Amino acid sequence: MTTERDHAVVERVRREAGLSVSDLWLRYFALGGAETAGRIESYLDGHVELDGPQYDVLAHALNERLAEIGRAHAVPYRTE
Amino acid sequence: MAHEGAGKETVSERTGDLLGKSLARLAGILFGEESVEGVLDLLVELARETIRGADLASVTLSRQGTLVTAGYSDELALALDRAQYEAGDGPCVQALLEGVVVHANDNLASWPALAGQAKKVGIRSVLSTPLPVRGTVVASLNLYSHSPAFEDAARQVNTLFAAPAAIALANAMAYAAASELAENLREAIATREIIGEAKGILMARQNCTSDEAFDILRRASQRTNRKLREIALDLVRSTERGHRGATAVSAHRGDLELR
Repeated sequence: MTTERDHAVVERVRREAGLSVSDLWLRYFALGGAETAGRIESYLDGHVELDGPQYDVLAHALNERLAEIGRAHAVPYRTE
Repeated sequence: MAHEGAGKETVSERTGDLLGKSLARLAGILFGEESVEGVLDLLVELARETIRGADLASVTLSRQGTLVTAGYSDELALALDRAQYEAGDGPCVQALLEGVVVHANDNLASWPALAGQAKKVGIRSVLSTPLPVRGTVVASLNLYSHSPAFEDAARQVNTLFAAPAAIALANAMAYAAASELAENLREAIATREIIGEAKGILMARQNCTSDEAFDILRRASQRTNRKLREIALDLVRSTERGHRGATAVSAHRGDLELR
């Protein structure tokens, strides 16, 4: 990981991608994500941690959004 | 405008009657019965019928910070609204951004950008009223008049009209938002089900965990630059075909490059 904490990377990219927290959660949920919208919001704020698999689902939800708007995948996965 | 003493009572009775009818129509909209567009059209129509001097009417909405005219009585009202958006100033802009009723009379002397456009079409005064939805102003009701000013009585009627108008609009917007959320959730659940099935297939075939199955799908999605949902759907369909007697499964193994 870089010096920027992973939740901060996800949160920054979410804003850049023009996704609301609830839109991001809906995409994460569609991909099989198991955490509630409230937990995801707390994670984005840096208050709680996500385990590796849940983090990877969230990262992929965001990366798919980036692909839609013609940008390269920007969020690294924990399981590379 | 001057009226005879005798005529005035008739006018005010008639105004009260019109206002009563308009409020009854607004109050009679059932939740979910009218779309946002339907309510906006009705507001514009009722405002012109009810508020004396309202020759043209429109409603401005703020959509993600951008001002748009979402309902209007005719093209002239639309053009007058747009002149204000372009200038970034005007009664409708101020009503929406500051949440105050703006009565621009006196040939719009305080609004030079709008005055030029208004003069060409004989508009001499404007009354813009904020329509708050749960404490946030999301719209303004804009009335344009050929008269030099809106009378006090008309402004009072306007205030009485605006409160139920805002509620009718809020209800329609809340219903639209709830419908959209329900539809989005239905789609998300359908996708989640396909992905769940695909993970189950991989778990059985690869003797792996659910998380590992997701990783396989995710890597395939990245490698092929296709959505994970599409990869999952292909896998589910080819597996189904396989169970119907075809031999697509082994071909599909190659596509996914499974471990």
